Amino acid sequence: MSEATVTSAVAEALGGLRRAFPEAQIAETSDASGGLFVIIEPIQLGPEFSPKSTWLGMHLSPLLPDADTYPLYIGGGVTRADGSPITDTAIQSVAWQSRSALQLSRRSTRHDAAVSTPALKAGNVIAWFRSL
Amino acid sequence: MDEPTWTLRIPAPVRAELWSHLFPGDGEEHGAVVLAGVAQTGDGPCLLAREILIARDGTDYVPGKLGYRALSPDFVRLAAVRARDRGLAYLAVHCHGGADHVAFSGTDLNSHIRGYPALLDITRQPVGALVAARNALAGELWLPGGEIRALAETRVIGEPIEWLHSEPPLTPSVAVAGYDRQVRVFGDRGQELLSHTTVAIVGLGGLGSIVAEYLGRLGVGRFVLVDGDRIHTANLPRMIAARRSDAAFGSLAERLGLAWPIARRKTALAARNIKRANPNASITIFNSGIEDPRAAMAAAACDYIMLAADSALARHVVNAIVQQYFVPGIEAGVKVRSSNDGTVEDIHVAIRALMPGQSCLWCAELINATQLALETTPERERQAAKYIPDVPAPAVITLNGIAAGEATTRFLFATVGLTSGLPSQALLRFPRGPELKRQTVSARPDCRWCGRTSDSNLGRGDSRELPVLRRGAGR
Repeated sequence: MSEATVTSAVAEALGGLRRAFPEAQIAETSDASGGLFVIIEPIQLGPEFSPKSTWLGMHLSPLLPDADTYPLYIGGGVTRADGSPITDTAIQSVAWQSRSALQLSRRSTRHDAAVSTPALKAGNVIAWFRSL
Repeated sequence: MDEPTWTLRIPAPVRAELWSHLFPGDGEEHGAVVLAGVAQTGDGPCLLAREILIARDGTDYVPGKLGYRALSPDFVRLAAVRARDRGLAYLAVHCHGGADHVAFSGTDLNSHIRGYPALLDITRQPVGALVAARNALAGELWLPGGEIRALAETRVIGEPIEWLHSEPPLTPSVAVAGYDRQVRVFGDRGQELLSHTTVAIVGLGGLGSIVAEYLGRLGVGRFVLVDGDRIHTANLPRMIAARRSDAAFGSLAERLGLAWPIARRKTALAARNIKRANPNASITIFNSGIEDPRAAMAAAACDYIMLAADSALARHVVNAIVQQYFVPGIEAGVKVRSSNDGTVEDIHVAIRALMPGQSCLWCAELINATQLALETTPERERQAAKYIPDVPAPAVITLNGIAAGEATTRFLFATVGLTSGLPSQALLRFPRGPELKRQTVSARPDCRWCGRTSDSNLGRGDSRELPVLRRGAGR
């Protein structure tokens, strides 16, 4: 998808994600309103999880930077390596962009358009998931 | 073809800062530069005064070689470069004595001829001059295309709205017929102002339908109506003059499981009511949300916005229009809070003035960034995300009537000049008892919408895109 059809803020956010995840491939799909669906792959979850790496998805709203980036998604097959359940009220199994996914519904309580970038949000949510 | 009429809009706090510099009480001449965004409004091109560069006496405002005083060359250069770099119009302003009449002197006009061609080359933006008396303002604009235009009118956006001209406008020679009783409150001039005012109403549900009726009855002359919904049977108890037939066929289709969109549009009902009240009213309809680019730009060309929709998206777009285009507005709403067992715990009616350069809806924390993200997620993804659909909010016509009455009265007083004292920004009324709260929230200086920083969207007009949703982009 050509970045020329997205808003400048979405293009900037995409650039931030590329810098935050330099080793990953980022697939983009237009939402037909100036935003993007992006899938970043691979992201590392660590040996506590199976698989150790998965993909991370999100919708970059055309109203960035004022809009939050919410929710985020990872591969639906992610479990703990020791078999124990991953349970949290913010996690539910869904289908997203034709993929089986875990939806991670972590709201930003103090969204600041100047600093709360999708890249920062992605890092925070991954860190939270790893801490479960 | 008529030549375009240039006007100036200046937020009340910006005008207050400028006037305190120009008229400190010493009777002397003082100067400054105003940097302004540019916008195309329904009435023609408009300058949006967003920044003041104060010229300090003796340093930046010095004895002139030909005139009494002048801006120093260094100050002019600094201001011109700033105008160029920020894409803003450059307006040099100074003051004269007197109160209700003001005009450029011959010396002033000659200084424009000497200096403005070069300033046009530097800034590549409109340049010009303003000369102020206590209650008057005149302006001359030099445009990049080579034209020179007089400033027709200045509007100070506050409560009340003030109009400044080079001399007092003529009083209307003919009273607007049929409004005798209300003209006794605010005069023929006020009625004339209403007839020439364009109001956008965003949200034509229960509350918005009452706002439309009231404004139509007041004699507001032009309307922009924005709502994408159709009337449902459940809406009928709250929609002014709605007939069962407005919703009946839609409800029938729903019962039969048909997708025929044949119920009447909420905008159509509001238009019908306005026309019944004021057959001379001009009405433009957008059967969409305010996030539609065409609806947003139409609202940005209005004189006032009444926000009667409570989505984060509607608030965000209207907030942006107010701050970016200096269109004043009022938000009105009713909140009924219930416990899990359905017991009503709290009812309050809230109206909030939306004024450029003053604490905006983001500063007041009335726009939720996460809700904004959800509302801009495409419907298919929202459904797949298994979000629990919103339960319809409790709503009662009498509560909507309180909100609509307060909001339209505040609009009326601000427009015809009846606002008295310094009103609080927001009014919360608790109808179950005597409680009344007034709120004024401090603006965040670094707010990207209402803040007076160089990067903010305040007064940027057409140079920046509004936060709209461009449907079909990328298909």
